Amino acid sequence: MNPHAEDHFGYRLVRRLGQGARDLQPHTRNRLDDARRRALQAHRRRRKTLGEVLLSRLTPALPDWRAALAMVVVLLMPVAGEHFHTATRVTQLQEVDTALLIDDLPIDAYLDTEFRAWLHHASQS
Amino acid sequence: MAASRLAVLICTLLIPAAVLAAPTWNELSAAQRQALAPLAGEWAAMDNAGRQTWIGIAERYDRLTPAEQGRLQQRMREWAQLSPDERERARDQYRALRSMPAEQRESLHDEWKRYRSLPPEERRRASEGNP
Repeated sequence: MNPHAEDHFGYRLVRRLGQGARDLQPHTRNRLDDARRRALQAHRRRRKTLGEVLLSRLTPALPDWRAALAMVVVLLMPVAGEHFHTATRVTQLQEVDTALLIDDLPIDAYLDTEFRAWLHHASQS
Repeated sequence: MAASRLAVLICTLLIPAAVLAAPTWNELSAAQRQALAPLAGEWAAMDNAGRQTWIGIAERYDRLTPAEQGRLQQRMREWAQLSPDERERARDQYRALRSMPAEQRESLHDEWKRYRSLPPEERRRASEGNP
């Protein structure tokens, strides 16, 4: 079909549709109008906001939330391991330090390494 | 989906920081501040691990006898002012001495007094096994 014939066909089609629309019952016309509005609104909702567009550009390697969750788990595992190690170490220090600080012997007794050696030799003699 | 991605990224960045952060002096509870009162001046200069250790000690404070509480508070500053190496050395010696047989352990206080009463030269000689 050449361009002129296309234009002519389009013109005839619009005229025919316009005539058909005029012949529709008001109830039918209203239903079609409502359906058109809903379709336009649904189309607008699908468009991304600027924030969504920027975020998707910043995180192109995350196709869905499962991949994001997997990434978080991978990132948090060393942190959790380190945290567990630190927490265990701190708990041990808390126990020893409390016991040492309330002990009958003063702190100096535990800093003096010769005292331990002296005790060792004294117990043997 | 975008919102959940953003939340996930924020959590990834914030959780480790939240986990590792130790409270400032003003963020401690009243009971913790009371137990750690001798350390008020040193608290700001302490690292996170040091603060966490003291917080754990403060949590044990209520379970101590008044005499133990007194000794603990009396020794806090001295302990906090030691270097990490000195504290580790003291802990090692504490573990070693506490693993002694019970009868020796009970006499440790008297032995310490006897040791301290010796002249420094004699202490050194005796510790080398040359009385």
